[in-house]
Formats: sequence, C-alpha cells, structure tokens
Amino acid sequence: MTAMLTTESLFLASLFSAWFTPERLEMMLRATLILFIGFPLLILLARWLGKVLTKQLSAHSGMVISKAVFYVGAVVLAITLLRELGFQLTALLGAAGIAGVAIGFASQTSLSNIISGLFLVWEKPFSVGDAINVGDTTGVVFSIDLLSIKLRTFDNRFIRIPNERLIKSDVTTITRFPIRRFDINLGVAYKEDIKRVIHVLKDIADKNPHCLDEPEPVVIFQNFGDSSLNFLFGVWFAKQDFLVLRNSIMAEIKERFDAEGIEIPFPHRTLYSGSETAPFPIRIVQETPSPDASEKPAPPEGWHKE
Amino acid sequence: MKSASATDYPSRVETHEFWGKQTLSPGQSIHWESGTARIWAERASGATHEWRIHSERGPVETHAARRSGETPPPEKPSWKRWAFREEDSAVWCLPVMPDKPVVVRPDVPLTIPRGNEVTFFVSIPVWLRFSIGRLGELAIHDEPTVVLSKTWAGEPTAGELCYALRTSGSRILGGIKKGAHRAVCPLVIRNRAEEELVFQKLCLRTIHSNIHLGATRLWCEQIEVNYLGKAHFSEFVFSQKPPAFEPVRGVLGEAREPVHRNLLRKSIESFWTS
Repeated sequence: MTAMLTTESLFLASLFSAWFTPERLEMMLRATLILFIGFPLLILLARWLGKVLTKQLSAHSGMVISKAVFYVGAVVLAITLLRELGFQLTALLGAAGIAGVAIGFASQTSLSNIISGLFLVWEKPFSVGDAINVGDTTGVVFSIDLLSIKLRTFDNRFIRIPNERLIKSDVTTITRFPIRRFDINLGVAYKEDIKRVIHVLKDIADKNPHCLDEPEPVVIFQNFGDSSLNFLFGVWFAKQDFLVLRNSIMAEIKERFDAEGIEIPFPHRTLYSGSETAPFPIRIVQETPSPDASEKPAPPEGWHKE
Repeated sequence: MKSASATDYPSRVETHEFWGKQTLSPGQSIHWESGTARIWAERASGATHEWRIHSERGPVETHAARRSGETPPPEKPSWKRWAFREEDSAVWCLPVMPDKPVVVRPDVPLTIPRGNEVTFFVSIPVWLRFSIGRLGELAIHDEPTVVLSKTWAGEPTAGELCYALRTSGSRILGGIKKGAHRAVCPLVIRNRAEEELVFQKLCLRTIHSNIHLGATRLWCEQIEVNYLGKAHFSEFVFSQKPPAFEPVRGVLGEAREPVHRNLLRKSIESFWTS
C-alpha cells in the first residue's frame, strides 16, 4: 500500500516538474501580471483620459476617446495574454478575420453608429446639458455614448437616439447660443391703428425686464389676414430666462391690449336655421311672477315634458 | 484692488440712518424702502435662531431711502427663511453694486477726437445686501433697489449679459439722476488712438467697485478707460482711491469681486458704437 502511494506521488511529482518548468512558470507569471496589473491599469488610464479630455475638450469627446482607448487597449492586452499563454495567433487571427467579416455583416448598424459617433465628436454640434430638437423629439442631452445619445425630455421621459439618425437628420441645438429670440404671431382687428399697435408692443418689451434692450425687439407688420392685421413680435432674451419671459410677455400683451382697447379678433361662429336669409327664430317669453314661489313657471308653448 | 477695510481706505461706516447694523429682539421686524424695493426682515421668536426676509416691489421709484421699525410686514408675507446654529440679534443692510456689468450711454452719441479725454458721471441703482453676524460677514440676501432691464453686449453668438441703464451718463455732476439708492460712478474716457472715438455705449464692470458714503451721495471709485483703437484692447483702470468729488465718510459696501490688476478688454465695435 505504502509502495503504491509512493509510486503515485513520484509520478505526480515528475509530471508536475515536467510541466512547471522555469520557462513555463515565468510565462504564467507574465500572463498573471498582464491580467491583474495590465487590465486595471488600462481601466485607470481610460478613466483618467476621460476626465482630462472632458475638462480640456468636452464630455462627448472625453467619453468617446476614453472608450476607444479602453477597447483598443483591451484587444492588445488580450492578444498579448494569449501569446504569453502559447496560443498560435496566426490561426487565431485567421479565424478572427473570418469571424470579423461575419460579425461585421451582422453589426453594420452598430458600426455605423460608432462611426457616426466619431463624426459627432469631430463636428461637436451639441454637448451634455444642451437642449436639442431631433425630428419630433425635444429634450436635454443626458449622455453621449458610443452608439447613441440619451435625451431627457421636458416631461421627464428617457429617449435614446442612435448616432446614425443624428447624422442623417436635422438637429437643432436650442441652447447653443447665449441669447435667443422669442417670436409671437399676433393678430389685431382691422379697425386698429397700426402705428399705435407697434408702439404698444415696443413699450411692452421695454417694460419687461427679461426682454433684452439689445438686440432690439422687432415688430413686423406681416400681412392683411382673413380677419386680422397680422404682426410678428420678436423679443430677445437670455436663454436661461425662456420660461419666465414666455409666461410674462404673453400675460402682459393680453393685459395691455385689454387696457388699451386693442381687439384681438378670434373666429366667430354664426348659427342659422337652414334658410340663407331668414333670421334665426327667437321667442321672447315674459315670465309672470307666481304667487307661490315653489310653483315653477309653465313651460313655453310647444314644449312637452317627456 | 485691496479689501475695503484696508488701511488706505477710510474705516467702514457702521451707523447711518438707513444703512448699517440693526439689532432686533425675537419676534421684532424692521422695514426698508429704497428705489422700488420694499423689504422686511424679522427675527423669529423662540429658540429657532431663524431670520426671515420678505421683499416686494412698489409701483414707483422713491428717491429717498427709509428705514422703519414701525411698518409691520404685509398680512401674508412670502418669507425666505434662514436658520442658524447660534443666536444672532443683528442684521446688516449695506449697498453693493449690481451682479452684472452695466451698459451706459451718453444722451446722444459723442465724438471724442484723438488725444482728448472726457469725464462722465453715471448714476447706477445699487442692490441691498442683507447679512448676519457680528460684522455682517454672512450675506444671506441681495435685493436690487430697482430692477434694471437686461441687455446684451457683443454679438448674438458670443458676448456678455449686462444690465441696461435707462438714464444716460452726464458730463456734469448736477445732471445725473439723484437718489439715495444710486451710486455715482465717475468715468474717464481717454482716446489714445489715432482715430476719432464715437462713444455710444460702454459696458462697465462695476462688480469690481466698492461703494463709498459721500457727503450727499453714494460713490464708486473712478474708472478710466483708455481707448487705443478699434483693433486693440482698451485698458480699464480701476482707481484705488475714494472719489475726490466730495468728502467721503468711508466705505459702505465692498466690491463683489476685487480686481487685482487692470483689465484689458477688446473694444469690439459694438461696445463703443451701435
């Protein structure tokens, strides 16, 4: 029994010493170092690069470049690791090339999004925190990633828009410039004095502290409308004042027009009884007070209670 | 620029019929009126160590400032509240310049030939700064005495948000708008360029100015602008001395941002001409 154990131990020891040669141990040490030091270092490098580039360039550039550095670095480390472990990379790369073609076909959209993302980095049409409009979607840019951007809409919904769509469609960056113009289309009745209306509108803008004095507000008499004289009233404002300006100027126009007796016409509806010329029949009923207050007046003639 | 309490300045003014420190007992309130601002401060009763401030706007700009312990707060005040760890019985009300630069214009565009200089006096409505602490070191609330309209200095794509002064700068001291809530800023414009300067408007960074209590008015330090031509930077020199146009009692309000050296600003066309 003891002899058998000794033979087995010797066999295992010889196997161990045959496999764990000094060269192989050194190779394993190098592989371990790559795995446990190389990858954490790469993660730290990518994070540091992301922070530095975000400060130096923009959040978008920082994020995309740091991710690109991480992925490229990870591939290089993985190849190095495999080589250290003695894998034949020629065959592996050949297989990877075939697999790459297959994956490439399968992930055309993703690649297109990544390349579109790189174009967006280069072009920089907006950055995190900007309010943008893409098609029917308006919101604040929440994050810019390799494949897509994420928006938070004003009613607090989360919307993901692929980068490819951004490249292909019109994107309006609402908050790109520090000041904006708020345009209001107004109609006043035909009886109103045009000069007086223009004067009143300029005075409203002058008295509102959120309307910028310069650039000056614009009042343009646009056209003779179907039922109104149409004006464009445009006031400039600092982008952060949008809501307060919008609410205040609308209320002030209404109040001031009411005070000045300037009529804002609105569509009227005329009812007729079916004949073009005959007036709508109206019957005036004179109500006689009843001696008993609880007694209801009799319904007009022709009315039937059901 | 050195701090207002530096030795080359007169000592800080602490007592005045309107400005300065007010000590209140718990539950007591005090009222200030200046420009169009109406402000009440109240020290909360009990052990809450709390101060409250309510502000509202009057219909017209009053030229005299008034402080009163007799005017009670409105029935339904919208208090802003500040809570402190330790009890403090004093509230300070001191002037401070507006929080943005102001754009000033002369009555009509003025041409300054090369080699000449002109002095303007600009009357700027101050803000009221309320602070707590033994020396008023903890600012809690700023309130403009007059709400100025905003304006933009620069191009629509890049520039600076400023306040627009509706009253123009004047060449003579007697020609400017008076008011206990207004500080006079002497402005010297020198044309050192080889061309004429058509002065239509100028953006003044008064956030770097201290406010001095003069014999009849509030004053800012003099600002000198050296115009060197359209293609060059203009030099803005902020004086380190109190204004010399009337005797001053001392510094009332300190600058929002001290300036450490003279500013160089590109005299882009829109800053000077329309």
